Amino acid sequence: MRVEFRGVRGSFPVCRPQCLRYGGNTPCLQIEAGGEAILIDAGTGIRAAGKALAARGVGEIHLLISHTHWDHVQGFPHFAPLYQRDAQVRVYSLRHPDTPLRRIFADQQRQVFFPVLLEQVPARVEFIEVEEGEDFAIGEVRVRCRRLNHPSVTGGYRLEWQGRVLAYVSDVDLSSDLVLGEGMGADTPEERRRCLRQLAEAARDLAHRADLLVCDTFFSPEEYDPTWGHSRPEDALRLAREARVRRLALFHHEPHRSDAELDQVLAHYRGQSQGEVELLAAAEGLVLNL
Amino acid sequence: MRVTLWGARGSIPTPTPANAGYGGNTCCAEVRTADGTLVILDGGMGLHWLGRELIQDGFGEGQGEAHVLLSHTHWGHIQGIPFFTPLLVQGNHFALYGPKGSAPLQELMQEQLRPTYCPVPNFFNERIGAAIEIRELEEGAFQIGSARIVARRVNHAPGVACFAYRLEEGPAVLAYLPDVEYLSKAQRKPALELARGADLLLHDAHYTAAEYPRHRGQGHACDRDAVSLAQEAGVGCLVLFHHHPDHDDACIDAMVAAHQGHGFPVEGGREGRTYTLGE
Repeated sequence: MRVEFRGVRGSFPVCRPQCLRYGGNTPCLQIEAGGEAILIDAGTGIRAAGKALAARGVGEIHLLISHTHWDHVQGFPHFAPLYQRDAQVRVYSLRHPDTPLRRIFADQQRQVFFPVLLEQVPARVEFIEVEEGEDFAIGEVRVRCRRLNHPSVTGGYRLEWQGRVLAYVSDVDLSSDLVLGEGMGADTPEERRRCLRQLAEAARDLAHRADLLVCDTFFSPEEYDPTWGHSRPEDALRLAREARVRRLALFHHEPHRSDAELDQVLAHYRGQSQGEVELLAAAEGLVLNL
Repeated sequence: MRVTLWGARGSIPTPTPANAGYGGNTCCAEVRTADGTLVILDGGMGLHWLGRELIQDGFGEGQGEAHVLLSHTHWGHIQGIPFFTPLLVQGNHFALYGPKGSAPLQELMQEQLRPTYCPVPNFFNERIGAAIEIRELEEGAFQIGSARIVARRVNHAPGVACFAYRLEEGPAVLAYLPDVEYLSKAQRKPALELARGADLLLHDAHYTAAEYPRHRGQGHACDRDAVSLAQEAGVGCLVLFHHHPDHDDACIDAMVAAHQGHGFPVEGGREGRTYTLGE
């Protein structure tokens, strides 16, 4: 399984010289496994992935969406395969309670916002609403989506192929005692506790013995706010230890975090990981073979 | 009048080393008039970084006032608004202007902040953050502080109302035409009127002249259109603006180099560059 980081920045794309080494594009992972072209999230990083796929003439592309906040969908209208007649793009995401997935993407391409309507793009675009915890297959790759603690409707993914496992757990707050997602039915304190236990269990399930865990580490401990739905490196490290993960990639970097600051964060937490987990900070262009 | 560019990129922010010289932030320009009025042209990604500076200066204490003129509502002109932190501070006052179009501007601003897309508080809800007054514009002239603004409809893309602006203050004139295509003489006329005698013209140069024929009808100009309008309008300085996401620094440098010797300077729009007009 080949994993390429195309966008690693959280919230919004960051165009600053001091952030170029880790990169300023918003989330996108490009994965090749069992001959399938799989992408996770459609931040601005998907533009480069799309050009590479279009240049190679890849006809069938699977796009897994964690959630539909701007930084995870804003690159979609700029995805080159959409403008190829012979391309087929399958977009997967958890079902939203009120809005069909297609509608969420079509609204981004209303003519008041973008010159090309979704229904006008030449490629065949299919939207697939997945159920929490239900495994599905993309060729030989087994995919599982579980709900995460983050505002709106957010899911993490586990991809398994020939015994290799990638876990994508972003965006998420792994330690908040608030239930942040939409429609989670956590009105009483008991329901809330039960819900939080389920969410913690879901994150561990996704990450269980993963070769690579890509995890939201937006906050530093000083910045942490339990209402936003993001984690700190220590939260990610705890999950990695509990789930016996081999490698952990810090991901969804805070937009103002410079390359030098990210180097320091990485060095600091490498000191704390005590060799149990191989720690790295996701950077644009980084390729990992699992 | 002082004009500072915070974003000169078109369509989508491009954080790549090859574009770092001119910058990857989408459209935003800061205009300070002689009487201290702040006018912001477009709310692309550059707006976030302008906001970071404004917060240090009055807007952090809720004492800021600014006028934001939107050319239109394509993403590259509004995507910085959710991340413009002065809007979160109570006491600040904003007037947001844009062309009257098929959908109310208020609705489009709310749409960008829908919880499905955006977790930040919806400051277009009047109970949160700064006071924001939305003013939908018809073509014509109006006053902001000591500046006279002229708004004209220009040809861009289907289904969206798009304006270009002229800002006059005493002898200083700025013309802002970020997204425009001339498919006929008639479509060029309002642009020419806005640019007439301007000290500084910021003009769409999304395509190179060589690329343009393949993209005719897609709503954007090329460098040659910009230069020819600047020549006819007799501008003091032309800045090529709304760079295509795939135009790296070398490509923009080459466009600029090809247009020297017209009797007025031609530059590529560069983040951080400031122009002083009328002095």
